[in-house]
Amino acid sequence: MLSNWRLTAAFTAVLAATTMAQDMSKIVNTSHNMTNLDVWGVVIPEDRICLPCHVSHNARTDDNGQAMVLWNHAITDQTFEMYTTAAGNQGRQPEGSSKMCLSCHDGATAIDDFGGNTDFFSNVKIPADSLSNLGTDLRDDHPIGVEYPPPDLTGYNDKSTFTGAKLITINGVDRVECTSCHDPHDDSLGMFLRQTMAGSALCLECHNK
Amino acid sequence: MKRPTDRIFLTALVAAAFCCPPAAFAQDHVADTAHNLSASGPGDIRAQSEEQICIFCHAPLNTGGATPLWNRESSAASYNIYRSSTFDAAPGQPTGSSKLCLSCHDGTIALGRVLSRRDRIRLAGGDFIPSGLANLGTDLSDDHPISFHYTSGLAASDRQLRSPSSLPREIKLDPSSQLQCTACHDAHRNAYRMFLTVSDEYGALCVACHDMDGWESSPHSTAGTAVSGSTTGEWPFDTVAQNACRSCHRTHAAGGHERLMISRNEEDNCLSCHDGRVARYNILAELDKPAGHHPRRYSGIHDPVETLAGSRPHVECSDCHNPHAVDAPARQGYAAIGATMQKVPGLTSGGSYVQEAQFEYEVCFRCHGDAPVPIRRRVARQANQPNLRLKFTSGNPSFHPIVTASPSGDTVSLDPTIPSGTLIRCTDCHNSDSGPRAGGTGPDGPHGSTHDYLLERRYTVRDNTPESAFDYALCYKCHSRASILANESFPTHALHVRDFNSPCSVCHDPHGISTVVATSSDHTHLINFDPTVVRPLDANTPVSFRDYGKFAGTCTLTCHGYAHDDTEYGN
Repeated sequence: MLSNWRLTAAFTAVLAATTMAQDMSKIVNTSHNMTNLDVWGVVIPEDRICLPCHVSHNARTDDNGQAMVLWNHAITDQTFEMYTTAAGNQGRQPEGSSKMCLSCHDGATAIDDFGGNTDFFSNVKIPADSLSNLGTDLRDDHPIGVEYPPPDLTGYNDKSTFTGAKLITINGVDRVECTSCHDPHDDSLGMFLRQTMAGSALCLECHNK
Repeated sequence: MKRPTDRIFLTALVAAAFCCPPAAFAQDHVADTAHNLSASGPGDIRAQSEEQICIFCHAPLNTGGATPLWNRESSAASYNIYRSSTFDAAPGQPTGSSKLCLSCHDGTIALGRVLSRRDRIRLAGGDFIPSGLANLGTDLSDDHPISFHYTSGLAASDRQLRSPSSLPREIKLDPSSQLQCTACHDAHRNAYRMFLTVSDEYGALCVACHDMDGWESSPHSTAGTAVSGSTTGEWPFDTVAQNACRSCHRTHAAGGHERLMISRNEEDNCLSCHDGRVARYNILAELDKPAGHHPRRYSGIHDPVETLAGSRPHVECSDCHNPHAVDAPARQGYAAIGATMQKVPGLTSGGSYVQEAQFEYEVCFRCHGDAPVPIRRRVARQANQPNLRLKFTSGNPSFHPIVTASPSGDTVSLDPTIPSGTLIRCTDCHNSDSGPRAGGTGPDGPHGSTHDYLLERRYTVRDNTPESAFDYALCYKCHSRASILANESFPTHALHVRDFNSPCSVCHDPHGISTVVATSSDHTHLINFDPTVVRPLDANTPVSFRDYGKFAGTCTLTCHGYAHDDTEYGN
């Protein structure tokens, strides 16, 4: 049984953590809140948090005219070099939500190139030396747009066992996309990850290693 | 063509390995294995504080590394590559995924040096892989070969490899059909010790690729004999059958690099069991005898693909025994070739080299035939022929019935229990002095003997030896002493042997006399005088024996000071 002083100490510690640390599960506290952000020397004078990515009316549609989460940001026009599997198969070009992520994280599309931003466009991009800049060479990045589980491989866990990772279903096929590992709205685990990397838990959600 | 039993045997082995994995080693997840280098890892080698497991090898983003998201730089080491006279593939430097493994296991790159981190991840027990079996170093000549194309063509030329199409699904080649570390090891799963993809118990892992002729039925693969008796072995399992290939071979850090033997000295691989502790017979004790085949005197000479004339004289166990195909020795009775000498090369009586000798003498002829090794204190002969193959040829004036039965059928002195026309083997004379054919309990076979010329019984060749059953025990094994001394075959046998103390060898050449070197002498009845005892009558008259038919002949020579000038015997 915990002694009184230990209970008090624990309570104090919890209180301190709650008051002092920001709740990183809220986008307002994360680096994805770009309002009035001084991004590498350029201030984006915008106070609507969602606007760089989303807009409530007249949003963009994808190449097939389909709605895409009320998307407001310019879509990357880059061609990417994709990851090649051990069997020598190169992945298809990014689609869907992954293409939305790459519309900033390709390092080629301006962060502030979004709808309604006509007055202060400064063409600011993620700098080349940032870890967030994936570039257009995705050969050394985890494959995206790939079917899960891979039809030609074994050693993957059933999706029913996932507690953090998420599959994206496109045309009835479960796929791994950027948002399988990342939740752009919640940075409570760091790197906007959906599961802790302690014990490589995120990796092992899919990989039965 | 593959025998149908091969596939059944292999399937059974692999099935056996999978149905009963040793529970103590079942580490099905990388987190449970020594490859979990994070601070939570179970092994001694782990990070001081790093919590991620995968990061030591993989990172999801921007590593600059190759598939599979490799997070390590490649070692710049130049490796010493495995080479063997019986390995046809001859690969170059390591490639593919093997390079990934070597980026830790060659010991040149710190374990925590990963591409995704600016600073090295610090490890608790030292930053590099410690010395030991897991640290292969850059000398891979004592490790199983990797990074070679395992193709059906390779299997066909090797003859002792299975077709890659028959590999079990657990054993994978890389996308370019190369065999890499990952064929035998699964870095993420340690189900059978050493991260093996298939258990090596009963040799299952090895025989998935290696198809050694005769292996399935050899006691080396089937014997339930416990190996605990040996003090020198370091075997993972309890019995000979369980250890199987591991009884003699090491896939890493092998003592004998070529063919990955445990010990550098060839015979030590055999004698670690055949020293009376594990195998039934103590061969080691035989090798301490003065006469014998002495494999401990040679090292690094024997080669399975050696040619008869191209090799320096030597003897190793595997010159006469095929360790993959040997069978247990038969207790008694004549066999053209012993069970312990199955599937070894030989030289036929006609002089052709064969991969599988069908007769025991063919094995002996490899070294004592057309390319004869020197024999210590060999008895000199009037008609000298060191090639024993030629001495047993059926057209010769006389020979012991090794290759063909004696044509005459009138060997008067022959023990009546031995039927006329009986064939004998080299080992009926050349054998252990303590083996079953000598009435002892030791191993059969010409490993060693206390008697000169590696003979099973005493055979004195020294002149002026008083006749006795003891001194000519070898000859009297088959030839009746009573008959000899009663002069039944030669009227003055008793005079020569008993009264003048002449040994059998002074007149008789026990192997046979080759027509190739026969002089004017007839050389029937194995007559081929020892010229150190038997001298010419005079400078112009060569030593000669003339056969005038049954029980009749003449000799012209000088012996023990007595001149024989066309001296007749018989009628």
